Amino acid sequence: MKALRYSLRMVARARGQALLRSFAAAVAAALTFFVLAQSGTVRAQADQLSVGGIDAGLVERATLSLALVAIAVGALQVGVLMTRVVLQRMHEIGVLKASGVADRDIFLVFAFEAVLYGLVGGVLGCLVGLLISVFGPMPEAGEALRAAAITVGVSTVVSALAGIAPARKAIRAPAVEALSHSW
Amino acid sequence: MPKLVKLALANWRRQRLRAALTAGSLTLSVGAVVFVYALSVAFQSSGSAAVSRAIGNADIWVVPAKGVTVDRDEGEIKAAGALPAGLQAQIEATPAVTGVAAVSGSGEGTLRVSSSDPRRTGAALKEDGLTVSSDPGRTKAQAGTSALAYMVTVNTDRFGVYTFTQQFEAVQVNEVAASVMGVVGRVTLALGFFSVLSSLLISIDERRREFGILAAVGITDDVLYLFLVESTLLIAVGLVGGIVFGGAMFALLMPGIFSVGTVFQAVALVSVYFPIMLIAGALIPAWRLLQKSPLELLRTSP
Repeated sequence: MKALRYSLRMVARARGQALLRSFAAAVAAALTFFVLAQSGTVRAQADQLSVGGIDAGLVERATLSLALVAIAVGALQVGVLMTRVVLQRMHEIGVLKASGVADRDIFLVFAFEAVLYGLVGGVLGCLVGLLISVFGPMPEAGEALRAAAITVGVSTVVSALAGIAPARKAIRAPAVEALSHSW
Repeated sequence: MPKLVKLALANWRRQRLRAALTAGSLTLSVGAVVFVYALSVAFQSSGSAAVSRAIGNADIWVVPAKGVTVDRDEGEIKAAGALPAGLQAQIEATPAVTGVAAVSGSGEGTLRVSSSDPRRTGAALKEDGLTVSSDPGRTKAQAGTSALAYMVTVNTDRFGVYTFTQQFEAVQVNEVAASVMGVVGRVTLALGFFSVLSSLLISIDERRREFGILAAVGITDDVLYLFLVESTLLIAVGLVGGIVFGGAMFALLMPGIFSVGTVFQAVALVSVYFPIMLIAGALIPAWRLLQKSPLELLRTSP
């Protein structure tokens, strides 16, 4: 509980940065959501396309690879972002360690923040993606929900993994190392 | 200038991981844009390519110059205006035509031409001054032209059970699908730009401390130039990396419709828009940051 409170206070103190990070995560998530939601529309039209000249298999393949690339790029983008956020705060890990905070609590702080950014970014991204859908055909509700679920899920899980890995490494090492880490 | 480049490179060397992460993030965004945009371009061109491919041994449909409209209620093609008299005889005289039939139920003035060699027939019709196109859009001929448009629809062997109406609609749907892909491509371009911008903004934010120290010793203007050179180099690396990444993904995932030309179209678009917008987009926040007092920059550094 203490860890969560500390984490929230740190986020509140650096509001500008927190906003920027959520924005970055949201843009990546918006890409995933938009492409996923629209790929449903393209796929729906592919059924009718089998009559026309174009190969329905090709459309199917294009839809699949679009979704694949959107998910992969969104996930990697969030991963890179979280890695940067944690590396930026190595010094803080060192200070916390040196002042005798339990490793488990430090870990909780960073894990919580990583999940928070992933979750907020994912949800914001879905909203932005839905707004952008005005330019294209509106996705169906079911399609949009599925895309939103995938987007938020991937964003949260990847953000957590990407945030936890460098934090864990820093927590395991001696405090001096984290303190002398320059960014 | 060379000194600034040297300084920027030295900065990279000192913060290898940071530079790598920024460049990696740029690469991802640019790669995604290149991939999606190239795909949407390829999709649009493969739509028309598929129609041309169907010329193989398809029938030729001759429609009046004023075009045709699809009447969805009746499920029929309505031709605008009648076929000129004597046309049937003229077409029957063209080489490789094996039969001409006025199609019932497809609207007046629509002819179905059976041809042993549709390409030759098409060429002959063109020589006669008739507008020849496999593009459904061209069936709406320009006002004043007395020419006829012919549309080559799909292979009769495969699609014999479909009427002209169905085939025509299929081509229309094809165009709609291509336009959805077009929208996806354009939106991805915009999102990719914001993604690159946000990663540059974060890289500015990460360097508050550095900027604060430099501003404290009074070299604000030079810092701006240094930052400009550095981010230009970063963007260049990200662009090249992204183009290679996006192109490689395209070649791997969609080998069927991969062509260097389509990727190059996306590359041209990306390399025109991104650098200008990004340098402006990154420079302004950096400049604003440097307007703050060094003390504040140092205090608020992460």
